[in-house]
Formats: sequence, structure tokens, C-alpha cells
Amino acid sequence: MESKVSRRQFLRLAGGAAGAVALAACAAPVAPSGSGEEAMSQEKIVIRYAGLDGMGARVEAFMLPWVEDNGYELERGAFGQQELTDKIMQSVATDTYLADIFQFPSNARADVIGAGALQEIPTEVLEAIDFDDVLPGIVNTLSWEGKIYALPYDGDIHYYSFRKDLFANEDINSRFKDAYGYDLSPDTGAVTWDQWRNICEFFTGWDWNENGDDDDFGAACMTKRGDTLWWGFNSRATAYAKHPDDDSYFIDLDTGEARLNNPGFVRALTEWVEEMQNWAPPGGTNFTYGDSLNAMNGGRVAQTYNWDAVTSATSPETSVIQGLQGYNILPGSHEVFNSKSGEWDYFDIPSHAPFHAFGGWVIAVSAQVDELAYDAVWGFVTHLTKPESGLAFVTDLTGASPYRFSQMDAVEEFATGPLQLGEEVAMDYLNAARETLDHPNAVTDQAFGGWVQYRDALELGVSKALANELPPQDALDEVAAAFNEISERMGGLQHQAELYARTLGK
Amino acid sequence: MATEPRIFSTKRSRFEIRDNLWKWIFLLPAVAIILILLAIPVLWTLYAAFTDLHLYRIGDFETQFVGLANFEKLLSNRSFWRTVRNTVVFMLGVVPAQLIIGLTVALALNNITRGQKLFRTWFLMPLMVSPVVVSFIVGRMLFQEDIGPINDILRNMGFEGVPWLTSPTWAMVALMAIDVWQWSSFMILMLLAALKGVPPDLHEAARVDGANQLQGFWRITVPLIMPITMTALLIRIIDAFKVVEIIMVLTGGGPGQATESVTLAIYRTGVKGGDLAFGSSQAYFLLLVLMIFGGAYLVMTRRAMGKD
Repeated sequence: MESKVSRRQFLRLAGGAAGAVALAACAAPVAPSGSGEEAMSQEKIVIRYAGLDGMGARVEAFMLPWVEDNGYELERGAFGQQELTDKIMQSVATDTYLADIFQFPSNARADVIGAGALQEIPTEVLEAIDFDDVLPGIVNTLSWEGKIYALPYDGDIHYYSFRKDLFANEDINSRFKDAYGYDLSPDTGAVTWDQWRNICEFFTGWDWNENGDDDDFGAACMTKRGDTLWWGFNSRATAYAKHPDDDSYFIDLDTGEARLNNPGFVRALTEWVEEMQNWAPPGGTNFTYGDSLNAMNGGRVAQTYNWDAVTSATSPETSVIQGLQGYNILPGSHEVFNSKSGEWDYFDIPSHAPFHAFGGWVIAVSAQVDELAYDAVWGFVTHLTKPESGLAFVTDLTGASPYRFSQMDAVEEFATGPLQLGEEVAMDYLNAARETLDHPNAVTDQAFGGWVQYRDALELGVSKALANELPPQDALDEVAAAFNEISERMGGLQHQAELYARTLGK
Repeated sequence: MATEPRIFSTKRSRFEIRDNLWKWIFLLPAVAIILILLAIPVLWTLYAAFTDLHLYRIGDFETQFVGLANFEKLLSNRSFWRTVRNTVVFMLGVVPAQLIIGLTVALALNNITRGQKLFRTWFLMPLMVSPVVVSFIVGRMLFQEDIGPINDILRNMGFEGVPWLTSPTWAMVALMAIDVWQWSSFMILMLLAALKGVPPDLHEAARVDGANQLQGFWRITVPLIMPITMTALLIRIIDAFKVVEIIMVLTGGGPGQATESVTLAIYRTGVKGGDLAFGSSQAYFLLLVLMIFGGAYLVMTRRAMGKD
């Protein structure tokens, strides 16, 4: 006999089955059965780590033996750079769990630490990793109101890099001297931004790389909005706009008023627009940081400034200038704008104001750390950030830069280790890092609350000037107005000035 | 006076009531999901648009009701209006181009007798690729000004390289080219389906009556494919208003603000910047514009097709 199920009967059956499944799902879990070993393995402590995809993979490879030796498990969340920052910021803002340990950009510290999202680093951990060995410029990026909330991993700063071989070439140097009246220095490269401009102009438009193509230019910088323009522009501006006698840079520490449209910033932008439009490769006003690195490593520009200047330049797959590059602190200036007096001050010895661009990725433990994994998590971060581990990271092809005094002395490891820099380049690189991170007039990156909005406002204005949509002064007037408006929305100018002081360790 | 016999009883039987109850029980999960996933976020966004809610404000701040302040700021915000202008320019550039290309290709495909399936699949391939991938491969690599293949070919032919990503005009052209390349396929698909629905008998009858091919196209084909064409256009217009991925990957909204769309501005303000209040007011502006436009478009379309 043929049996038929009507549509209504079918729906009732499906509804009943769904209800039964839902009830089963809601029922109390059944206690684990089987051997004690199985039960143990089910309770294995899991350490959850969220970080950048590339860097996180290296952390995982490095930490896995330690994790396995201790009988733990590691779950790694891998994200792109912007995605990771967004995830962290959103988990902080909505007070939701992301991971036990996360890697985060240090200039989000006001947003992250200020929201109470991190555990304070215990004294035992600080002692175990020899925290006193960390350079002051990096300590500042790990701290909030005098307490340490994060551990160092990467001393991200901008290095000035230049073609040592070209600057040492006698023929090139004599032509340069004829044109500008002084010698190119293969030891230091450009010491001031005026020299940088001369070098930009001189190396544009003739075949110094001898490949027969019209592809030789003075410099390449990160200029693309939404990429790394913020750091590209600020590294160019600090020497003019950060006075040694004044702690303020982005906003006035007393009033909270934006300083972005003062003559120091305007001069920097005016010159930068000219350089990127005339002396950079085609498309130079819209370069990502990768584009600018590629132009340098591809042997098409004579100088640049960037973060990971070493790793990519050493690889034969990505560079034609292995061993030919010199490093130094960012150029300085004889004239610095004094916001207090409203005048330009002249310095016989160029004033430098190296920009701690980005300030580096740091490692932190979430306030919502899984209680079961508490000890394992602190063991993990201690092992990851202790001096021996740190040295292994910064001397390998990880993209991480040095951040400890002891690392600055490890010339041998940088010269002959995986980076294979050779002694001269290693010395240049480490001296530049030490001088930048330990400089009394260094500029700490913007880290007071709402940094993403400030960053977007500045990038919009500067990119308008780079695209000739607005003259530099008008573009920066817009930026300053936007800064003040953002400050008002973030709690008021005074409130933001107080946060700014805290990010400077005041 | 005679009364008409009652054919249908207005009194609902117990069976009907029980039947309706079951309907409601089975509808309830769907209604609940829609409420959770749609209505609550929409209402919450509306609430946010009237406050000073900010995700990343540090300190003890209470969220305040600010009335229409966010909308007033929106109206006076030059940057926002620039994004509106960019979005309209983008939409006006891509949608007509996609319609023309889509119709041309669909007509050609409809008339060929051999290899139709192969070509149909071929033309649909761009639609299957993620916009982010398209932007990166087609956009970032082909339009790279310095060493990209398009400029390389131009230079080898003796022309100047085109500033694809650093000139406001060319950057918009590059974005339009990518969008047209990808979404013309959608138009081809829709219009080919519409053309397949035109009965061949009508054309044969028209030919018998002395109509030429052009007259047949205008008098028979166009009116018959019009409903699907108008629907496809509406979908593409709304999509063009919401464009964001290709801009993020290719230009980041630059140079300057020349290619920043409304949706990208909303994302930057609300999601990345954490200013949910102002971001929500921008989102509601876009929603309102699209609703008014969509409603007016549908009314006008129905009138034009004589259905009102």
C-alpha cells in the first residue's frame, strides 16, 4: 500500500524533530566517559593568540616547542594589519573576548589600555624579561599612567636609508658638488631635509642605475591615503614642527588646539608635494609603503625612509641593492618653527626630531584572559619577549626591529646572522635605531584616544595637497579644523590634551 | 424581499483557526530572525544618529541625546557632499555603460546559433570573481602608473603614461572601468534572459506585416524586455550607490577625496573611526536617498509601462 505524507503532516514532523533537537542541545552536557587520559586531554589548556598573519606565523613557529613541552595547545587567530586593529578596537569597545594574548599597535594604547582591556604586567614578568634593558622610547609605548601594560616585540621606527655606493662614487660626487657646493656623504646620507631635496633633484632624470631606461628618481615615500600616509608625512614634518624646547607636536599640550596648520607643517607639506610630484617615480603621490620600498630595493630611487628597511633589502628575491644601502636617523633641519613664539628658530647644528612612526607592535594579555590558562599565558608572553627570544626575532627575516640596549650591541648577530647585513651596514642600522629610540627630541606617535579618526583627517588633507586639489596651507587648515572637531567629539580639547600628556609619559 | 443565498460563511471554522495557528507558529522563527537581524540594527542605528555615541571615547562619558545635531553637521559637511557627488558621478558613469554593453552582448548572444553556451559562460566569468580580487589584479596591477602593463604598452607605442591613480579624473575612470568590466556580465545575464522570453512568433508576424528589423526591435523587443531591464537597472543603480570594495583597494578614496564614495565615508567614520553617531546619520541619509529614488523609479517605471 502506498503511504503518502501530506504537506501539513510533513511540516508537523519537521517541527517536532527540530524541537527535539533543540531540547537535546539545551540539555546538560554528558560527563566525559572513557579513560582518564582522554579526560585529561579534553581539559588541555588552550592559549589563544590573535596577531598579524605573517608575524603570528613566526610567533607560532617559535613558540610551538615551548607550548608542546608544557603540554598546552595554541590557537592562533591570523589577521591582516588593518583587520587586526579593527578587531581589537571593536572587541575593546564592545567588551567582548578576542583572545588571551594579542598583538596590537602601540598607538592604540590609549584606546585599549584606557578602556581597561589589558592586564597590568606583573613585576615578576618584567624582571624575568629584563625590562630595564628596553629602550626608553619603547617603554613609553608600553605604558599608561606609569604602569606597564604591554611587552615589547618590535621597535618600529622610520629609518632614513640611502644608496651608500652611489654617494661614495667619486664621479657622481664631483658632479653633485659642482651643482650644490658640498660633498655627498656615504657615511651619513642627507643630514638635513635641504640636503634630502638636493639629492632628490640631482638623482632624477639620468641613468645612474645604468639599465638604459628612463627610470631613475631621487626618492620614494609612502603617500597613499588609507595606507601609511600618516607616517610618511609626519616623518617628513617633525624636524620643522617639533621644537626641542616644546613637548607638543600634534596638538598643544596646554590648550588642546591642533598645530597641524602651523608654518612648520606647511613648509614640510609644500616641500613634500614638490618632491613627490617631481622627483619620485610615476604614481609617487599615491605610493603604498610597499611601493616605496620596492622602488628603493629595485634600484630606482637614491633614498627613502621606511620601517622594514633591512629585511626586504637583504633578500635577493626582492632587492637588487643588497649591501649597498646605508641607514641613518631621519634628516634634521637648521630651522625649526617655535609655536610658542610664532617664529622660526635657527640651529647651527641641525635639530633632529626622529619620528617613532607607529611605535611598533606590542604583546599584551587581555583582561578577559581565560582563568584556566592564566599561568600558561604569562609563561607564554615571558618566553616570547625575554632577551634571547627578542634577539632571535629581530636578527631574523621577521620584519621586527631592535628595541633593547643589548640588541644594539649585537653587531655580530645582525652582520652574520640570517639578515647577513655585513658589519658596516649592521653598524649603520643599529646606530640609527639607537639614536632614534633614545633621542631627547624624538616624537612619539599619536596615541591619544581616537587616533584612527585623527589619522584619517590628516591623510585626507595631505592627499588633497598631493593631488593639487588644495594648496598646502588650505589643506592643513582643513586638517587642523578637523582635528579640533574630533577632539570636541572625543570629550573636548582639554580632555584630549590631558590624554596626549599621558601618552608622552607626563 | 428575497435575500441572496449565502455561498460562503464568514464564520471561521475551528479547523481554519487551528490551521492559521500552525502557520503562525511556523512563521514565528522567521519573523524573530528578521526582527533580530534587520529591525533591531535599523532601529538602533536610528537611535545612534540622534546621540553623540562614540566607540573610542575614553573616560566617564554618558551618551547624550543631541537631537538633529548630527544631521545638521551632515548638511554643512563639505567632505560628505563631495562623497555624494563622487558617488553620483560614479553611478552615472557605470550604469549606462553596463546597460549598453549588456544589451549589445545579450543581443549578439541571442542571435548566434553555435557556441552560445560557451560564450554565455565566458561573459559571466567576471561576475564570479570577488570585487576585491578584481580591484587588486585588474586595478592595482594593470593600472599601476610606474611599471603597470597598460602604461608600459602606451609608452612603447610612444605615448605618455596615464596618471591612472594620481589624477582625480583618471582615478575615477579607472574605477569605472573595473566596475563596468565586472558588472556588465550581470546586465548580459538579465537581458539575455529577457530576450529569451520574447516569443519569436511576434517578430515573424511583424515581418509578415512589413516591419523591418529595427522596427521589430523598437516596437516588440524593447517593450517586452523593459520590465526586466528596469529591474536590472534599479539593482545596478543601488549597487553603484553602495560601491566600496574596489575603491578601498584601488585608490583608498584618493587622490585627495576624488574617488571617496558615501559608503566608504560611512565605513571610515562609523566603523574605523568609532564615531557611530555621525556614521549612523550618514547611513540614514544614504538609506533615505535610496528609498526615495527607488520608490520614485518604480512609480515612474510602472507609469511608463502603463500599469498605473
